[in-house]
Amino acid sequence: MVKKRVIVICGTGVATSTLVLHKVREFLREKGIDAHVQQGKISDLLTSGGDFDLIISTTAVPPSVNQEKVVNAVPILTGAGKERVFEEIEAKLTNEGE
Amino acid sequence: MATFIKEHIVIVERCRGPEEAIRLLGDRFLRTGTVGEEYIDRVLARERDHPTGLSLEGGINAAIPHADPVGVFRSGVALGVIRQGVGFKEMVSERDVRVQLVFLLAADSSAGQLALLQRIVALLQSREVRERLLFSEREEQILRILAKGDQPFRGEEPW
Repeated sequence: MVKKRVIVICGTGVATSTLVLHKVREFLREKGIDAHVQQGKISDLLTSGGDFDLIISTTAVPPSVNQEKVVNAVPILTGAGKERVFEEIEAKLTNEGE
Repeated sequence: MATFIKEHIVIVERCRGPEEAIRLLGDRFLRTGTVGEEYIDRVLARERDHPTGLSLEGGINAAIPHADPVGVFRSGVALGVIRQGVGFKEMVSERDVRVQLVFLLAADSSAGQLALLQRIVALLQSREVRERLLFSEREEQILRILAKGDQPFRGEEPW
């Protein structure tokens, strides 16, 4: 199985994405999901958006990016509804046909 | 210096919008020499491009305006309690959200910014804490509530 590529993004690629990144890495480790996870900002998507299998974001992602790949990470920050977000992340990373 | 100081806490009844809220708190930062004026301009610009409103359980909502750790002389957090709420845009969805707690962050490094954000986010997970902040009458009361955050967070999320 090819290792999936994940990017965690926020407006500036510093603060909120770092927080989310820690939580996502922790979750993937617990689940035993092997993926390449990196951090970035919106401009990284515009140059190489097609390269990622999953985009986890704390900022609005431009419509030119395939929205099927995008997961809203705000619940990971606030705590409310974060289980559903993690389920979504797991489903998107383990579903082969997608 | 402590993360939260009395000079950085503002209680107001209402506010016209995110810009006024950020300027109100930014002024406090300027007075204490925490940041330079251009930091506040960058926070305002960032808020327009990437809003930071958070809609939270129970309807006491927050916003965490911030910018890159440049033009920051020392780390700090300013808190504005806007009793009637102020209209922010929500992070990601950019929907309108009425925010009563505005935390303006200033960090002098990326690591510092992450630490501040972790503390604020941990604090916000508690609806009770948000309620107590909103209904505080005086800045000292708010300081006491926030100072508890100096101890490790014992809630569900050990950030």
